[in-house]
Amino acid sequence: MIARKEYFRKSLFQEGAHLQQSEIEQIEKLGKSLNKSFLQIALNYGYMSRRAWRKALEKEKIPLYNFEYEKLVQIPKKEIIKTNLHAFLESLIFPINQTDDYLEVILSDPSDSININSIEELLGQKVDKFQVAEDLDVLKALHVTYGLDHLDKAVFGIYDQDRDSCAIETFTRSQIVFIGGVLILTLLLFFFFPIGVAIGLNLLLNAVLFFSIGFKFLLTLYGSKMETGRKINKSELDAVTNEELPFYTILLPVFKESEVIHKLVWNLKNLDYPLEKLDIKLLIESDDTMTYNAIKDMNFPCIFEPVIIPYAQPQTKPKACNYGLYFSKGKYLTIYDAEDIPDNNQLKLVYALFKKIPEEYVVIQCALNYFNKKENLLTRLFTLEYSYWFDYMLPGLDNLDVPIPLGGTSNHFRFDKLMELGGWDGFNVTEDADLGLRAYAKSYKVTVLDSTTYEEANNDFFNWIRQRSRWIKGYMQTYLVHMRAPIKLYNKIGLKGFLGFQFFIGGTFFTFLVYPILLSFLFTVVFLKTELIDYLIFWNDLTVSQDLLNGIKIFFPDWLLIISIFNFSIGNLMMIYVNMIAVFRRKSYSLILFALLNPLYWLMHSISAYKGLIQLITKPFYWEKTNHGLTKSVKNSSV
Amino acid sequence: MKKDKLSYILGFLLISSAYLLLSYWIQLRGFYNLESYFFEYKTQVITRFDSEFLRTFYFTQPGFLFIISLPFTYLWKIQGIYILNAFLIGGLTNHLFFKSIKGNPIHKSFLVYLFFSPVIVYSATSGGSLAIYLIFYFLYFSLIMKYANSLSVFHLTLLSLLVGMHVLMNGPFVKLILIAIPIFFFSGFYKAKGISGNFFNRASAIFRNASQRRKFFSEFFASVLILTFIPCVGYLIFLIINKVFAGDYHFSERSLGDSWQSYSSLLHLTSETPYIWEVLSGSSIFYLISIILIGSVAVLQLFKYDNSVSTRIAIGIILLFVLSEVLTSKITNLNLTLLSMLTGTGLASLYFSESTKSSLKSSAKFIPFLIPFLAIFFEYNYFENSIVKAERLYFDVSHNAAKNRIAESLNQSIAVFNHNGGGHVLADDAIFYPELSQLSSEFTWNGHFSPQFISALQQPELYADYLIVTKEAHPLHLYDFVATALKRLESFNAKVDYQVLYEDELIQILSIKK
Repeated sequence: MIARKEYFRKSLFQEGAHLQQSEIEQIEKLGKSLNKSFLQIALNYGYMSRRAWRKALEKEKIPLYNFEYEKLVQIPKKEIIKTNLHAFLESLIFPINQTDDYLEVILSDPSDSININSIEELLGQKVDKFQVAEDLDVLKALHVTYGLDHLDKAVFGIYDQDRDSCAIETFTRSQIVFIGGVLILTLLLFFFFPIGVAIGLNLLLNAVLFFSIGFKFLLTLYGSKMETGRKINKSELDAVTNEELPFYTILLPVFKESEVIHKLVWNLKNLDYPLEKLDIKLLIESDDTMTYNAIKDMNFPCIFEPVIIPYAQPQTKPKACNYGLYFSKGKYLTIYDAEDIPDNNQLKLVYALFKKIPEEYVVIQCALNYFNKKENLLTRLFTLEYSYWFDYMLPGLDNLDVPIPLGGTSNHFRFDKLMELGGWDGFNVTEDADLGLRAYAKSYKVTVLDSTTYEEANNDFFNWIRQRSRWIKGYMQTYLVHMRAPIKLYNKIGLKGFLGFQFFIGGTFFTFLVYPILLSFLFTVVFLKTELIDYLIFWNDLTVSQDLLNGIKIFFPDWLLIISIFNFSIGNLMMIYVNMIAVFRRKSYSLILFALLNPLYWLMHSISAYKGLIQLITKPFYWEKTNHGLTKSVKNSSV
Repeated sequence: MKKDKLSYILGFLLISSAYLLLSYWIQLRGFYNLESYFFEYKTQVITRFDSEFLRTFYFTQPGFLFIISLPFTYLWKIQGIYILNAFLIGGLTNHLFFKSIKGNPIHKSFLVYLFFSPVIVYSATSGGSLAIYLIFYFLYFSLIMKYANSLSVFHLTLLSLLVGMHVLMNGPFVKLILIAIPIFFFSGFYKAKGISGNFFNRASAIFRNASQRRKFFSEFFASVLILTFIPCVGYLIFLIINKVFAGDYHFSERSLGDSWQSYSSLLHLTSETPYIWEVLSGSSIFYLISIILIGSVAVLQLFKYDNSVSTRIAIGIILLFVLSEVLTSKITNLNLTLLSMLTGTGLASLYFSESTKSSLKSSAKFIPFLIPFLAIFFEYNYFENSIVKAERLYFDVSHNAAKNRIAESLNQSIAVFNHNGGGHVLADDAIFYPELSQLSSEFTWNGHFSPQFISALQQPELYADYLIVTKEAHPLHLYDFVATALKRLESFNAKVDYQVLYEDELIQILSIKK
């Protein structure tokens, strides 16, 4: 325990952490302009590593305080801290014990008397004793003790603001009645008119499959029209000066990402944006000790500011991002995943585009693609999918002025509008797609930008199934949420938006669910037509297959079979073709023949869709974690 | 904006109506087109008999035209294909009209060509398949030229879709892909980044550098794959469906009733002058005159000062393609169905090719303005000397109302049938489809599509009330199944007891006594 012993910046930072005098001057200057403590700047703006700082403290023989987070309680003057939480976070000071005549704090920089004075001023009494802890520990203590109000808003913000838009309730009562009613009616009709109902259902499934895939094909075709267009040309980008650039917040939600944290720092350093105007928040779950310890032990300087999210269910990315919003100060805000490698001029491009387009545009979605596309078959197919999705389909939606379901990362927001929209729905596992629709429903617009963020393609089958089941479950959630009041939705987004929503969101998971049913049915009939079964199973000329076919024909007449085969073949052809087109924008011609394997890839989607459907009913908010850092590939620019 | 759209729609309706009126007027003056009767006949087959749609579709050439003309058949009393053609070419003319008035002075001068080109007017008003071929050619070459300019996958996909439809119209047209491949190859040299200079500089720079070379070829093959994928897989799907439902039968077969000229391609050629034989004889090069006359609008584009090199190469390749196709079979190909490819190319290169800087001296700049007038003049001469019966007839009746013996025979025979009341007719429907298509719903018949056709030929009295047969003067008399069967029965002394209801120099209508 230390009783207000004097420490000096020179001994701690210059002699202990080996910072140069010029660096110290720069940090002081930056600290003044950003109104942050010296240590915050030193640790979060790339001057000093956390390991170096710990060593400096150890060198001065300063014992480090270990928090027992479960036992932390709020002090009597808790309201002051809650109201001024930002100041305490910036100062890295946690008041641990306070009475009317006694104040004991845990702080990170014992040499920063200005900081201590400002906290004394806020609390209205002198610090009697202090102990020293690492900055991350102090931050965590502050967040888990005093961040609960923000946490509550992060989880229930959407629910409190607009209950009908929240996915906390998967099926509403009216939806259950409607789905149950349709099922009972179908069964009843099937009992009385079995053939008509079977044929009708088959036609309906075929029609939905055809229109959903046809819509995607047309979107891709429409999007390819703008293939060579640039939204911001070179001269427009060159005209942007550093002085005019606003503060830009980057949220980096991470969960058990210790493997990729060092890559993340490197990728962020490559961004062409003045560091002092970047407000980068690394969002760490308080129970994620793996990432927490990895950051604590980093032996090279970071350029992000950790935010520790107090534990609460659901443990989802949107909840983390919502929590991060309360500590963000950029005019614009974006989200990157830990392994993301954005184009280095992406933030400037977004700023230039926001300047160019009307105020009603509140989100800009950048393209996503993969840096490890050639790692294995799965990454190749995944790259093809992302290429047509972000390079062709989303620009197609953009040009048709139809709601764009946002991608998981690299969506750039006007911060004030994002707050107005209430942030993300913490209970929706594809919160980004949901947010895009909510923005559209409020007459705001979303557009796309031809700048790319490279991610790590999932290279493991089971990891891919987990990730995809979450995405498809999220699409189901989003569909159910927005279809609670279909007429209201129609009035809000108009016919074009409504149809786009049905085919793009509803059609996506529906086609994956229907695909294996139609496929197995068709294969059975075609297999029976070949009469191979007679020889393979019965070893003679029995007409078993013909007898079976005659039975099936009652429910599946020839004309319906022709329609089904045609529809199915055309559907697959269109999706294969869309995948083939996808290689052109990025000139990844070596992938073109892999597009022929798209039907297999669709079957993988179907497996995920059924997994997602089961989860939607059993554990709707469960966040299937995608493991990152499995790749052995690296993008050239990241090494 | 709204005003522009409104005037666009009004223009379309106005031009289409004008074409429709013109086609009506030309028919009043004695023009007829066997192809339009053929499509009407196929519509009758679908609606009146228990015959599957897909089967009829398989055995109708061009099938795609048959499908899209079907709705128009029920729209009005005029044959559906005339309405469809008026709308198709009306749309094309209207679109190019608006492009012309917004374009440069050369485009404006082509307004004359758009409204007075004999090829365009004929395709809009003659009731055959020419209109849809002209539209396809125009779109195809426009897209090729746009692709050569933009090198965008958007144009590539549209091209592939279009070729897919071409294959539905006419399978062998898949050859059109061959035209696109060299253009893709040569335009690929302009896509490489960081390489400038003329064509030879670019080519040598690309081939010398391994990375550029690999990129160039992978891009070229990817483009060709994208282009060929839809037609090839479309055909594959067709084969799969066929295999599942018809085994080895359908896809390799052709029926006698699947084309309006399936018996003899000579039928539609004019035979009144010895000129036709000069054109068709192996050693003669007279056929070149037809190509030059119709190709003038494309050929003259070669001399238009602002056309790019790729456009000139494209025109050259297309000319060679047309020439080789005509040489393959002058009888079937020396007509506007193929030659309109040149009209399509000419229009496409005029409106959609990349422009370069003028290299003509100012004194010679008037030449491009002469092109539309020269083209109209040459096309007029083509019609005057055409060896195709319908084309020549069109030219003749547009000058003087004419009476045609086939048309007269058709009208007379329909009058006879309607006078005598309903019944079952036995006729070779590959010859008598015009007559059969005009019969009222009281009549039914056996044709090539019918499973009882062979039995009916052996015992007509059991299967038919009426017979229609050709006489020796009819150019297709030797192909007529029913006439031959009747003669055979007579030679075996199995005489059919009949009464002649109508007779002219070409046909007989017989009523079987029961």
